[in-house]
Amino acid sequence: MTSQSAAAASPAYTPAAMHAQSPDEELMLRFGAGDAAAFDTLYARHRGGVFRYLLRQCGNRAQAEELFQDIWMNLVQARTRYRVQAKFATYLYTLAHNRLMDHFRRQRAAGPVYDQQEDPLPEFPAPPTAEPERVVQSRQQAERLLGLVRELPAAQRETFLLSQEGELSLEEIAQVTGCTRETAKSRLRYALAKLREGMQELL
Amino acid sequence: MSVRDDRELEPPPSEVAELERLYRDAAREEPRPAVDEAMRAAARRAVHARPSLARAVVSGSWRVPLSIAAVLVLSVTLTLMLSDRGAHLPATREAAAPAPRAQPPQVDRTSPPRAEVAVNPPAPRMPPTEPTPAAAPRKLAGSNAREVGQMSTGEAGPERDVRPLQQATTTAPRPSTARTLSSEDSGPRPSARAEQTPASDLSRTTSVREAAEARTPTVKQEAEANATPGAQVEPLLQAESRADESAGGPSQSKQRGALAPRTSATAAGAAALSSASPRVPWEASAEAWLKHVDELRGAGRLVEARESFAAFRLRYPEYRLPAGYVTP
Repeated sequence: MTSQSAAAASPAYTPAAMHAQSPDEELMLRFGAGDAAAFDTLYARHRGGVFRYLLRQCGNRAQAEELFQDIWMNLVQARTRYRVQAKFATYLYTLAHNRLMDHFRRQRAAGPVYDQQEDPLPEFPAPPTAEPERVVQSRQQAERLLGLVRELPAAQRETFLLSQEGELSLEEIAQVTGCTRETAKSRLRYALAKLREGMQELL
Repeated sequence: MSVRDDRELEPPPSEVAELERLYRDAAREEPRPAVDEAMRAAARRAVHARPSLARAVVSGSWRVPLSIAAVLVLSVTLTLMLSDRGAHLPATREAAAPAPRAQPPQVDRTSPPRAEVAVNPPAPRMPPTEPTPAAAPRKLAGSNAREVGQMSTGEAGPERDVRPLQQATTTAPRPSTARTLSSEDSGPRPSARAEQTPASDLSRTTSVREAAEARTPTVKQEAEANATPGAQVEPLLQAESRADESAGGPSQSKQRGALAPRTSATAAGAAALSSASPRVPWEASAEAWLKHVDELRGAGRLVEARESFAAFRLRYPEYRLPAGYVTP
């Protein structure tokens, strides 16, 4: 999901007009200089992607929200030290990745904890002209795809999520996860192949 | 999309594009509105809050305040230490005040000849009761006679007249005693050398001090005589010889008579003083002194050699150096 579409999807976080067209890096610098409205715009752009990245990785909504708050608080506290050395999304997902690794390290013995009762798929309105059979098919496809994503190996899942939620390139994924570009490329290729294979009969 | 644009990936089939579309439609989870409000409120608080001490420590901005505090603490500590030391200082001076009075023999023994004092008396150390230099030559004969008369009756010179002599002798360029003399000049510190003086030295220096005290007014006149032409030297020498006879006896007078060929009053006064004061061996003769200077120079003690040579020149101002002699 793109940042623009995420911002549009949450009307409660409509950014100020002056920040709507500003790049993430400029907004972060403004926030570091004391512009709280710049943070609102940044948050609206990336809140969904970061949250889904965490939710898919840890499999637990409560833990995902806790990690989500920690990450954004770290960003708030580090605002004055921020320097534009890479894309802001890379910086933000690096914070998320590091926080997630700390979380996994503490729960190494138990491993990722998934909700016993999975979150129901959010209700998204279907077009008024959509046929009921088509709506049901789309819902089945979504449930199947999210199940396949959950079953991916952690490294492949993370690579897929970073590419989809953070819209990161292979180089940026490699930078966030601390691997080489070739490794990230291989992981993404395997992840897509497994998803494509699992969704073969539904596509 | 960046991943789609990556040329190194396999060409995305239509299934991959459909997968991405399906995922974007399916993945719509978002944090709760309460979490969103909490994050926005935290960001506003952080922006509007003043920097806390903990944040200042983390960000490294504590260095400047810490350095200022350290400088202040050091300054206050030094000030307190110096003030305490200053409070103890007067007591130390009072306790050490009598010590310099016990040192005149030592000072006299290590001092340069009195002629040196007479030749170049330091201006600030002249006695405060000294008449103006312009008036001195005219009053010399009469005042000298009066002083000699006083001395012949056995009266010693006033104490304040002795002190300028002692202070003046501290300017002696003799290197071996320079440190001792400078410490004596500063006054408050008692000299350890006075306590270490052997009994034989004490017996010898006591007689020397008596002679110096008896001669003190004459020294003052010598200082005045240095500014006078040579015609007025004779009365001074006569008065000096009488004073020496009354203080040191006829033997000293004979010794001074041996040095009589010197033509200047400075040389005469130096001879008279050197005859009464104890000498180091090399001062026995000009040749021995020059030899001592050469020894110092040969030993690499150039500063001491220069100072000793300067003292030699004061003692023997008209001595002709050997041909080819190189001054240090």
